[in-house]
Amino acid sequence: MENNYHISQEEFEKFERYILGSMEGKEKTAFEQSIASDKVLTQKMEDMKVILEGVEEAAFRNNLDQIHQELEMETTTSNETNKPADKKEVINLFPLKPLSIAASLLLTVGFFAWLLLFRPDPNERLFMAYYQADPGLVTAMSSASNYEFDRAMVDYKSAKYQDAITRWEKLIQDKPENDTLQFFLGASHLALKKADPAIFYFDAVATNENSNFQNDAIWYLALAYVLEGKEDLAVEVLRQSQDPQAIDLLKELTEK
Amino acid sequence: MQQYTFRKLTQIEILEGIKNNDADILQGVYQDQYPKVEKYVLSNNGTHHEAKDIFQEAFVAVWKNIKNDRFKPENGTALNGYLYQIAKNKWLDHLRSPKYKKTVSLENFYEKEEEVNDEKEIQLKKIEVSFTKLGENCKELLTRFYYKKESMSMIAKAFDWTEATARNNKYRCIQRLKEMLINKE
Repeated sequence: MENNYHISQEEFEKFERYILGSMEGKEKTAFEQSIASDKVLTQKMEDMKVILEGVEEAAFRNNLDQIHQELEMETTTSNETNKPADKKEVINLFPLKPLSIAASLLLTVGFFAWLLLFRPDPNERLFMAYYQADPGLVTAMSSASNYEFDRAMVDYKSAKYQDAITRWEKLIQDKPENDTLQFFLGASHLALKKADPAIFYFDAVATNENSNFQNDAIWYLALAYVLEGKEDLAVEVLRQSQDPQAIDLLKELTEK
Repeated sequence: MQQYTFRKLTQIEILEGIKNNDADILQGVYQDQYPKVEKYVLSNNGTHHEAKDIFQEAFVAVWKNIKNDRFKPENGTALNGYLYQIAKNKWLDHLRSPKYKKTVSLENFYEKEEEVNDEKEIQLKKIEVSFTKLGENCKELLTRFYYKKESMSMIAKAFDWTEATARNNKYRCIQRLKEMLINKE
């Protein structure tokens, strides 16, 4: 870019089409010929190519930062469990979907307002200190056979838990033993702090040795018991887990 | 009947997704792989901030290699291993670097220490810096077109412009970026 060539809009759009691969046929052949015989043109083209590449890379890096920010918001709660006493209680209601920071800020502000007005009971506070919504599964909306399942997963990731529940509950009627459905139904209910149905679903997965979700289900089952105030059952469940978080929570429950 | 168990995306689908800057797939890979790299960096004298930088540099490197078809997966988890390995190597390079022993200013860590060896990389870095200084409209417009690959008609609609205006603005934004680059030199 050492050379300060002026590029007209027409020329720019031509370069762009060539670089992005949307130039075809005769135009492309003619363009390639003119480049081959013109050094200045070649230089202009090369410069533009690097600029467009740089723009894409810059946007990609921005995107990585956004993803990272969301990830950090999600893990805030779990990281804070290491610190004693007054924990900052931020619950992440939108675990995955891209969301505007404004919306999450609003939620956080709202949450603190709510915290000031109605302080949750001790069970709920303990639950919130450890609870972090399961991030859900990657969805490929293209596969038609899984459409309903994926559609519900999108709802789940956008924190529309009630909608996700409605969809998945229809599906589970045909597949009552499906552990994936059981797990995410449990997860949706728990996100809505409905401990009772959450326990119902997580319990099924937590005792299923063949399930990939077993460990996660054990953890969430314990949290659901905490939320419901059944600490003795929570302790019993946590004893099965080697997860460091589970050991922390177990300590907290037994030292009370 | 339908199978509701989670259909794992194949390597090809993931690679295609990365190639096309698919937001969901990039996010999925990031969330899947970052914790491992973070754990590695944290247990080897690093901080969260450094873990993030290292991981993102590795991700950019992998992204570029995939785009240039320099990376071909050999098995089902090849990509994950590859990403982790690159991040790990970058971290080891950092630990071995003489600067590490003197001052480690994390904010400027990458600007100073990254191997910006060839001219093109230097140029790309400059473009990146200039890009962040563009106005919000330009950034969004360029991101939508060159990164998200949205069509000009979609973009025009999103900004409530005519398509001609959108095209003119795109040209202007690129011109502005070019000027910023020239003025820097």
